[in-house]
Amino acid sequence: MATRIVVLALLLATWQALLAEEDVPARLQAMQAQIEKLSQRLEAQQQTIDEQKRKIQEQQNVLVSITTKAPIAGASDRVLERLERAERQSADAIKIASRKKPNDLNMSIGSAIDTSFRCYDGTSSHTDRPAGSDFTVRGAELIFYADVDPFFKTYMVLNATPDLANNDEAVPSLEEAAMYTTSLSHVTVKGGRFFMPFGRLDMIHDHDLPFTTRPPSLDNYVGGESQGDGVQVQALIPIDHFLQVTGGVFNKAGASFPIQPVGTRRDGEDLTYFTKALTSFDYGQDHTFEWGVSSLQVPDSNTRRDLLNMEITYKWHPQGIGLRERLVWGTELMRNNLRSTMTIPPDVADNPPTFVQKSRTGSGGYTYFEYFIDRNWSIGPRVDLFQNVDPNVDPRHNLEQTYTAFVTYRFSEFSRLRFEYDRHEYFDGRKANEAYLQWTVFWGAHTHNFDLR
Amino acid sequence: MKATTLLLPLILALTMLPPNAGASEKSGKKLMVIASIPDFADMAREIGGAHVTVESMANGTEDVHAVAVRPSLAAKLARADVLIEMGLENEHAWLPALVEVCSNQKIRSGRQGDIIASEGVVPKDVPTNVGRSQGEQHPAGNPHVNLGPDMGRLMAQNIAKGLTANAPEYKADFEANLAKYLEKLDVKEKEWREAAAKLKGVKFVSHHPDMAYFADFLGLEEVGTVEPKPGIPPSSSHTAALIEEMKTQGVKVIVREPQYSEKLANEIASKTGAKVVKLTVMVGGVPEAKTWIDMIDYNIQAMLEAIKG
Repeated sequence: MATRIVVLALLLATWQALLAEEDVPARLQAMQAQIEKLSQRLEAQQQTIDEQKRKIQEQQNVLVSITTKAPIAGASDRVLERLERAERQSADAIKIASRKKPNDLNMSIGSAIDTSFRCYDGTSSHTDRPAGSDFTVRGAELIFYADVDPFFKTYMVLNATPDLANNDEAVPSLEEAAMYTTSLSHVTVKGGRFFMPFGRLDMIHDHDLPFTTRPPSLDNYVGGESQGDGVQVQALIPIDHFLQVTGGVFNKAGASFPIQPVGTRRDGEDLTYFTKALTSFDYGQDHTFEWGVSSLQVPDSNTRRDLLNMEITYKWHPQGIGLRERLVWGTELMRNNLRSTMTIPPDVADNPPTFVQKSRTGSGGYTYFEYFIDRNWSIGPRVDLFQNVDPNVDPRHNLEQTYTAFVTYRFSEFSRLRFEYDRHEYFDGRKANEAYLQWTVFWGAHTHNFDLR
Repeated sequence: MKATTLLLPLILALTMLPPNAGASEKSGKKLMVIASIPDFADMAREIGGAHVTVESMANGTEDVHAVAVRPSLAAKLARADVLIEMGLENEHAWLPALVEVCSNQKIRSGRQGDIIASEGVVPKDVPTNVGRSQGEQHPAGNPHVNLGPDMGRLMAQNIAKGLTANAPEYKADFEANLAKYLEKLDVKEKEWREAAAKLKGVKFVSHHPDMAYFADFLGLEEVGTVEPKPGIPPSSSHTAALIEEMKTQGVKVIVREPQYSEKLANEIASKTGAKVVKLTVMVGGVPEAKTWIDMIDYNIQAMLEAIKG
């Protein structure tokens, strides 16, 4: 553009020179002035171009400094301010996301519902439920647990079970309500109502058992779960080897086994004394062997209870050949001695009843294994034998036998279906078949405690 | 009362104890460190040096969420001065039960002896919809931090900080060892970033959603998991849908973690033409992964091999 203007100016100057040849010097001066003006314009335009180039370079520098996350030198104050604000906002967002809410101080609540359909071809005298076909909500359980303070934890278990005498109305009862220490080294003191760790499966709630039915020998000797009101001290001896010892004193032991009628005077010798020792051995990474000995004793000379238990558990948990394929073999053997006072009603009215002390000793136990094929399926058999120590049972024919097979399918950790078949051979010589389809779900908060390992 | 009957359990148990049951491996003023997984045991050895005795609870081939609760682990914890765990509820199914039963005050949650290796991480996959219908979720976010090649620095620093808090007399040594370890990590991280350039955009599926931090570093793209939801075993319908998705998206790599079924991964591979690559989720999961750095090396090399075609 500038070149064209210069050329045009020169042409005009030449043409004017031809028209008026006599005034040459004046014309030359005018031409000189025009050329100077044009040069000044050119210079100004060049300055504008240089200024634009400088601004473009500045913007490019800012862009590079932002995209390469290099030190922000050269970036404008506005960009810096926006970055700082973004940093503050993300820090606030992390704080909000990780803050504790007031609800965090509330207790955790978990629940379990355990239902079953049962077919039984025996007589009702041998079982708690009616013979034939029977749908049952075996238990609807609520579990609450929480830290009390830095020194104690507590938990409570309410379980509603059907009451056959009341048209199967579910009656809630307090199964466990206990607190225990968390601040003592290697020792835990527990008090309240809870299931003492007598044997291997006695402290486990029905819905957590590896089978549908509790082994009959445990039901008979312990009285369902090993529930008791009392206090217990448990210590893990701080040595390289696992050795756990437990001792406790309780009103009774066994959910359905009150040795002393409620309301009667209870002296020291009427209390139930509990001791246990449990140890364990690993054989390589894949094999664990546990064994323990438990003792329950009511030392009273009139109503004595002397129950000794030996538990053995073997676990095969192979590494790296598939998820959760494993095997558990469990056994409990018991020796039970009971002395009870029998009341014999008088033959003739007005005569006082007579009291006879009877003592019976029996042995029993169960053994089972459960093979976990994968995360879903497990199968296993169980054999349970025991001598009934009921003084009314003829000691010559008092052996009860139950043969069981079970298959479990786990949809997830929190729901499962189980089929169980039991073949009963009762002490009176009668035989019966029993089958269960059990459906159990767990919901809400949950913990994995050591007893359920 | 028959005192012998009540004492019988203890007497019998004592007779069954091995001859060296009471022998302690502690020597001098060494700090007894128990790590939940071998990755942290390796780092604790690097940083703690001669001042620590280190043992791991899990070995590399187990499912990190379902380590067998062996009583012997409680005995280990009972002797510990320090416990190193991942955090983010990674070990929630087995570690709290063991910590509770061992009653060791030093390592209880929140105490000085309880070191959380993932502390300070910005967690990935934090669920917006928390509930059991979503499977076995980790509400605090994906806990498999140890698989992130760029997470070594954070974990090592947390471990060093925790060891120093428990044995301040060795602070200088711990700091020197940490500095050396971080130098090694810097060199390795540079190598890993070079490898990442070759893996950027590679699509894959894994069995469990445990590759989030690994994939993020390498720029991999996770298309799905063999499990329909975390911890839920795969159903045939989910597997069929996954196969279709893999075909649609052209997924060429199936990551199989050592603790999961090889059979199912191979079946999916045969139907999609994808390659099965075994990646370990812990140190010791494969023989090559003797240290944490080895593990990351192995996993990246395995991915590079898988895309060679």
